[in-house]
Amino acid sequence: MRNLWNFLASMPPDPAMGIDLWLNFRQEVIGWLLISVLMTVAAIVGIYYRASRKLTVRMPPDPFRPYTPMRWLWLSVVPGFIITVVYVVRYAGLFPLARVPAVGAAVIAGITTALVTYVIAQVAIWMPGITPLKFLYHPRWPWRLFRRRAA
Amino acid sequence: MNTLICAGGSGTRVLEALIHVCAAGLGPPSLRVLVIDPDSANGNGNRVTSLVERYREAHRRFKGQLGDGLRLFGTELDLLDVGSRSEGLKTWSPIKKNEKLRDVLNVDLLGGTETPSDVVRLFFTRDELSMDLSEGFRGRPSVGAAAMSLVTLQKGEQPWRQLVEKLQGDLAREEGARVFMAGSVFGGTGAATFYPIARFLRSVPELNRDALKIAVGALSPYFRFGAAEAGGNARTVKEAARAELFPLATRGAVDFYDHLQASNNWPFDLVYWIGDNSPVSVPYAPGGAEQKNPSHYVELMTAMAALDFFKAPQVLQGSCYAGASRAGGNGDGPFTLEWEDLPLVAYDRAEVRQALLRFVLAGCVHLGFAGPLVRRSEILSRPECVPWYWQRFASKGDSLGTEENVGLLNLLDDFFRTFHFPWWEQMHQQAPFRFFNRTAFGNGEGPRLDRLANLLGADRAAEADPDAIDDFYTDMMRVPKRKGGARGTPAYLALLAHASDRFITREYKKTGTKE
Repeated sequence: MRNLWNFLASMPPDPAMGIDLWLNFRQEVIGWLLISVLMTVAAIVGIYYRASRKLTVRMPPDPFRPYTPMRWLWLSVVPGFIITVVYVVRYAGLFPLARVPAVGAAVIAGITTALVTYVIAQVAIWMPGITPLKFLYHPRWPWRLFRRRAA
Repeated sequence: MNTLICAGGSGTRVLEALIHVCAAGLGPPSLRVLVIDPDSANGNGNRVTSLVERYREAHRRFKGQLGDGLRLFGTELDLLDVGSRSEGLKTWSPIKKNEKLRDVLNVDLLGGTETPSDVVRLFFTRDELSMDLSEGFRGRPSVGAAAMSLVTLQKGEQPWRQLVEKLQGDLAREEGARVFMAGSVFGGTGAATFYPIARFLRSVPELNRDALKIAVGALSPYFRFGAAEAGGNARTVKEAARAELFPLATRGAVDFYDHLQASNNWPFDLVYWIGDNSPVSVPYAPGGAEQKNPSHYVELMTAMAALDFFKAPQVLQGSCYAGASRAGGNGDGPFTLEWEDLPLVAYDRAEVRQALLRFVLAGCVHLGFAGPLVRRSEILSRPECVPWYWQRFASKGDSLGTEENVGLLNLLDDFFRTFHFPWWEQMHQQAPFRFFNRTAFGNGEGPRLDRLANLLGADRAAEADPDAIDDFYTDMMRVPKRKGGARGTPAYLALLAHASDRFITREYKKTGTKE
């Protein structure tokens, strides 16, 4: 479990690893993380904004169609993938002799990044003006929680 | 209080127009109605009777439920009792069933009086005296006037006793009483009704006050037909009203009213002469259920004149003329009748247009989109997919799927589909009439949602916008929550009306070229 958060830890997972190198590595990964998350969130919100406005209501069944703009939230996996790759590549480059393998921590770092991206993007599309009024309650899962409580 | 007396088939269709205008929220708070027609079973009368039933049902169910500022179906109809039917629109006839003029005038008994029966034959032909009057006076005002002039003998009977009592009550109030009579002056019943009824009302001592205002909407020829072409036996053709005599009958009526003025017997406060210079051809029917003339804009003009009179009977003075404009900049195009040509004094033309457009737009959206939407089964399991439905109904435990609300939705369907849109469509079959875009009504196939932004004026096919309903759908979300009715279908109708206002403000007023 300790390995899961290696990329955020202030101390290297292996005492044999140089602390300065580890800090540099950590800052590099965090930098990639911030950039990729922010860019992806911006991209998701922008694409979602356009896609949700392209989706029109013309016939009575239309409001009940699958709300396809939500699918753009799957772009959240992109920063996760980027972080995983960066982690593995940079770890192997900076710590070729390390006894602790990079893959597990890299995958976890990627998953965490994807989740963070998803949550930020989901909150962003709830901001007023992003989701069109006509689809106000379409971002589903939190809505269903709320609906159960209201019922 | 206002009283509308509709005489004959044309007068009945004026009532039809008035009902539609009242449904759009333009009418007075209440309106007393009396229909006079010897042919009470004519097709127009049946149509208007059904319309009045639907309207009254809508008024009863929506009254006070639509929120502030909305008066759709807002005019309460007080249908005078004629002693024959307890419910619905009543039609009074001066003629009893199978009665002939000779029976009405008691010609056969005149021999025993000081009046020789030959006097009657000075005024009426043998055929007129023995003509069956149960389907109207067949375009013979002299026959109708003879029958109608006997109304003073019936003032103790319904509906006249009730009318006099109610007018007395009106006159006791500050606002006074206003009576508007509508009918044609070229046919039988209308031409025969105006003067005898006005004289009767003026002759009642309790009503003989300045506060009683009487106006007439006198319709000059605006349709024609050929009885001979329609077939039938020789007697039918002989007795039939003849359209070629309409101008002559109108001239006779004008001469008569001129005589009334000259002889200081003028009982009217206001007379609106309304007609059309190119009468539309209609199929001939002697009367009965077959007589179903299409609606005509002359009737709408008369209905608007009645509303104008009810609102401000003192405003119009002297003689005024209002005619249709010509299309084209040089003034040499065909006559057209547009919103600007609506002769109004007390009403604001823009408000009238807004109210009628709002009602038509709400009707289009209801029939073409919102009505089917709220009836879908998914709306019960996934109400959040229709945000306005969730916010205004489902989240408050309300549902449009209850038996009561479904009944009201069906009532709206019926009103718009069976009555309101066909009425507009029929009027737009006459070329000069250009209030609405006829294409938008869908020619019996339901309203065209791609024309929501092109409901006024000529059709602009190139500008058809399939996303117009999408904009309207969003407008429904933008209506402030404080606006709209309390619950159920009234709240739904109010929402449609307020969203229509927003849609009109954006789509119809942003550019002057939209109309």
